[in-house]
Amino acid sequence: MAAMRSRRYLTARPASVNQTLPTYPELAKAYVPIQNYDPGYDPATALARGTMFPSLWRPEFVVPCVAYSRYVATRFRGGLCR
Amino acid sequence: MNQTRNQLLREIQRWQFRIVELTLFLDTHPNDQRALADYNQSSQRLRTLVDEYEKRYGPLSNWGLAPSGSPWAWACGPWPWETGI
Repeated sequence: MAAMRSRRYLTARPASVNQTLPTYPELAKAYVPIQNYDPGYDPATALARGTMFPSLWRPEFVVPCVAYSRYVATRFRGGLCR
Repeated sequence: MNQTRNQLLREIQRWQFRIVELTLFLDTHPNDQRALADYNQSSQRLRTLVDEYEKRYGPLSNWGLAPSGSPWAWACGPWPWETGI
């Protein structure tokens, strides 16, 4: 999980996590921390990145903008139903 | 197609997207004053842009919210795939 150690995840706000997580979080339970308002991106950047919130930007999941057929061909070699 | 028209349309898309983001945020944070202020400001900005576009190029939607010059601007405008956006 190299991504979890990357800078972006380290910039998550511990204070807000502390506010939204129980004092003793249980193992094997999923928690969704409440988002802080961080409107960092101007409208043009937001449209290009798919979010206006820097805390929600996940460039590692960005799919290159290519024709769908070409995307399928490169992403799923041999077609969708291998 | 007219460069200014494309630019205006792109700017409208940017502000529409910003408003989608703000409405989603406000759904879960209805009392966030900064988000509310940004939403109201963005809404005003979008209204101005759409008004300007429709005044120059005709309606953006066909729900009767914008007047049309002659000939009927809705049918004579470019199809979405002709805009190059």
